[in-house]
Amino acid sequence: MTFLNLALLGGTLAGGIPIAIHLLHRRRLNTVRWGAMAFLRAHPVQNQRRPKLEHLLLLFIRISLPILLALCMARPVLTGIHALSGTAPASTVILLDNSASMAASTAGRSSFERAREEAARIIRALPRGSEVAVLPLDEPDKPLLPPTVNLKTAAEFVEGLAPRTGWTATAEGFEAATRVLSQMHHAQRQVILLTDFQKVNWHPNDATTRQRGMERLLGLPLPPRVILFNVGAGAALNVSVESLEFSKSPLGAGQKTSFRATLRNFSSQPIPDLRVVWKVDGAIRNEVRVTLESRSSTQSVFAHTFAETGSHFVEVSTDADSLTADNLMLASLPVRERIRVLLVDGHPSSEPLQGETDFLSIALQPRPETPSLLAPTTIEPSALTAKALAKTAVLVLANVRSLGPQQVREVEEFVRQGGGLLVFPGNRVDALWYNQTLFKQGGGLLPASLESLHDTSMQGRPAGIQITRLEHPALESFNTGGLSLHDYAIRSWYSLNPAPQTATDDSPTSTMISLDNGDPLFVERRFGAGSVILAAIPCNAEWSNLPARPGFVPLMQRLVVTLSAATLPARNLAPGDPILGVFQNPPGNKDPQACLTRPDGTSLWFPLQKKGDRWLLENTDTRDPGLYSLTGPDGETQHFAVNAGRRESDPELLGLKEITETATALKTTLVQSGEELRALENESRYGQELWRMLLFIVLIFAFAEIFLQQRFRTRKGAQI
Amino acid sequence: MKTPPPPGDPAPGAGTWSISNLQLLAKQVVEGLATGLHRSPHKGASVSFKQHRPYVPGDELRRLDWRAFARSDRYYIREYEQETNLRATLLVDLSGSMLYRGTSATLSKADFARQVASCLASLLLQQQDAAGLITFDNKIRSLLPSRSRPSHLHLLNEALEKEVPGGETNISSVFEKVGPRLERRGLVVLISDCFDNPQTFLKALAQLRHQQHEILVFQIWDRDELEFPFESWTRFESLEIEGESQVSDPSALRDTYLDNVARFRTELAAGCARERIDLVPLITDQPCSDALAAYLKRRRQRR
Repeated sequence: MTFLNLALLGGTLAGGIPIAIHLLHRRRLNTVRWGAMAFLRAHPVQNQRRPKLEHLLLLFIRISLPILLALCMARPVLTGIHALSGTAPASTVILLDNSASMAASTAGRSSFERAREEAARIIRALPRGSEVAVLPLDEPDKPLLPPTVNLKTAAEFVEGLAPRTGWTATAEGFEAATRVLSQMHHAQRQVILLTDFQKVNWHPNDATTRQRGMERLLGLPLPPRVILFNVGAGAALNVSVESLEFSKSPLGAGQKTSFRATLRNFSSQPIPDLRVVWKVDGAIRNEVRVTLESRSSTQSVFAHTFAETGSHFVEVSTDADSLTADNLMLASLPVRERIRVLLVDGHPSSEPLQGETDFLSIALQPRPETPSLLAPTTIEPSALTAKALAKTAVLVLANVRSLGPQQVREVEEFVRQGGGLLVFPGNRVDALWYNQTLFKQGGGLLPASLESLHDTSMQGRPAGIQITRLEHPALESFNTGGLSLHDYAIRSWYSLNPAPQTATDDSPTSTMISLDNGDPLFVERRFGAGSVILAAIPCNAEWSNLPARPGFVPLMQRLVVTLSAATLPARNLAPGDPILGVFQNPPGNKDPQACLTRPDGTSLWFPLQKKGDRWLLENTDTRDPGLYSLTGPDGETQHFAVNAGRRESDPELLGLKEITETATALKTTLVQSGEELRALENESRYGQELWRMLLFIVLIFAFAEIFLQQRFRTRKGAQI
Repeated sequence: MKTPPPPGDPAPGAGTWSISNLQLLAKQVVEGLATGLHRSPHKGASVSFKQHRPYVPGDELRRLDWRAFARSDRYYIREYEQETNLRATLLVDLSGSMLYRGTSATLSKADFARQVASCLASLLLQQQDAAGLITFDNKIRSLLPSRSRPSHLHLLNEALEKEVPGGETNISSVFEKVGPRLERRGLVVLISDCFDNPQTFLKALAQLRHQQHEILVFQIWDRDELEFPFESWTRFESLEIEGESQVSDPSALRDTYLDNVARFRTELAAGCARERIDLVPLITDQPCSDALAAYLKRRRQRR
């Protein structure tokens, strides 16, 4: 025995009300000393015990009435017995597998179409008054249909659903079903999971997680009956664009860049003439034919030069099959204007690679004959003037001994206005001048002071770079990929002492990367609208082997691009990742808005949020893969490529034996067809609600109370 | 403003009636009445002739009927009916139920019965009749034999005053004991609420009637007993039996109660009419003198 509304059991205390009324009534009685007692009784001689019994009977009925009513409202459920009929309302949660693999079809009918039809039929077959909820298995926490009793509308809603591009999260589905079911009301409960039993989603490695979710579901006070409904249409032919690789380095106009797509055949049949189409900004640029053996992969390469700056996107697709979600992949590439970098060489040399900025200059523009994003210019310290800084985005001070007061003011103003400053020390720098003039106890340009100089060239072991996860945007690419931080040898370095952070400091100093002995290697802090990065080593090969390592070029380029404020939010996203658009607002536009065009072609306008001197738009509704275009108030369009995961690409399903074993392990019932489910539903359901019976008893007691009261009053002169 | 006592409480001063009060009341009542209960004894010509008998020596010569001698030449003596004074016995019920005094009454039924008894006694003695008194509940409490002396009224009032009402009613049992004590036929006046089993009560009355007694029943009612005016839930505690009570909703009980009272009165009235017994209901909220005068007037007209 259990109760659906346990709190209402407190209403049984109302059974004390008749007793209280009785006691209060006794206290208010008038007393009359009376002579004609014989006339008070209809029958002068009668059984004196009878009135007491009648009184007790009525009192019992009156006490029972509120108690029974409270019990009725608490909705007791007698578990462990079979219901008398199958017409009692039920609470049903349908877990609908809407992952990408459900779109696979055989004989012109996909698994999802079958699941959709069966779900609608299940809903229509529910007894009147039942409630149903539909949860998607790709995002179980976001119900497709919250609990409702409108079965007709629910069935029509389910019939209009389409598969999505996520993957099946079975364990999370059981957890979500537990939460939803605990808010539903009927004693008869069931959870029906309609899925294709795709092999990758029902892997034995996930069995423990699934089992845990199922235990929570079956651990409810009123455990539901759980049915696994296999709607798999069978393994289908599928070719997937598995990946699209391209350079993540900042790209300038006129730069040539390459793309490499990996194509995989998941079927057991070879595909001799697979068409692969490359598009740039929606226009077909290349079309190739490739041969794909069974269960194998191949690659297709495409190169393109973007002549114009702005946002561009590249699409690679193959011939359509039933699983359309993985037939296409997108890449978004922002092509930027050139970034002017002014290199101040504190120790120039006529010998190749002997100057302070020679390695840096090459790193920023490896091929001077071809267009590149970064345009470095090297000058001597004396040439550092306001005019030279006029069109500069990033200023690099490399082993500069010191600057004149006017130069310091101009550099400070340059950074304050948004410019980037990258400072490399060296054997010529005047550390005392740097600390007094540029650091100023933390109030100047430099984010840290130059403390002692460490030199291990004569004695000791060179320092390496601390291997840890790097959070700075300029260094994120070193976390993954082929760039390694293992084989760096730092022979000499300045010990940097970052400025202490104060409570009111809104631009704290951050250490971007450290040496393996704990000394900072790069320290950054914002200054005005710009940023300053101070290195512990020079940018040539005198103190370290940094310029000789493969990571030097991308490291320097990223540092410079970061300082140029040209770092853009990610444009290539996974489903669910937020779109972040950054815009310049035209003067006079007080209410800037941006238009977001989704993959399905719908366009929505959103107001921009001001942050600093920039205007931002963040949108997290990127569940559907495809191209999202964001057009700002200045007319600039930014493209965001959202590519679905490829986990669902392998259409191989579990065999019947494995499915049966899975169902048995989860202590659930497996059905393979609608007929089998209907036969199961015709069996008795467990749990019998008692509120109807109690309500009937309440009515009987109410009538009995009225009848007995009238009868006793008539017969013996209203002694009650 | 003085709050009236609750219904059912014994009348203030019950049992402390002074003899002078009763005598004064009786005097006032009797003076207001035109005639008594029956004819007064007379002597002389107006005496009723009964029969002639032959003269025997020794008879008074003045009682000879000379007209008969002239017609028959024989001596006849005229004989007349014997003239005797009335012997009345007042039976006053002083059981517990007579203690009731309702909201509209100034006297309890017992006090009212005392007044009635005193008035009747005064009236009887004034007519030179003999008046006796028996007070009772379920047994005889006190008994004063009938006397015609005017001073007997004082004894009667004294007996009425000293008895405190209480106890159960059993009129039938009392009548069985009273019957043998009433040797000569006379007038029996019962002053009671008659709350007894009507069958046995009427049977006892019939036995008395069979002894050639003339019976008068003054039935004392309180207005509450006739109208049952109670509204809220009430505990009715018996005035006669200690511990007996009944909790009732008067509004729901009223019809039943009034039916019972009506049936009781009807049965009593029918039984008394059958035995040619005057049944006179008196209500305690009416003046005793008015009620008695009205009855005596009706009685005189009946003759």
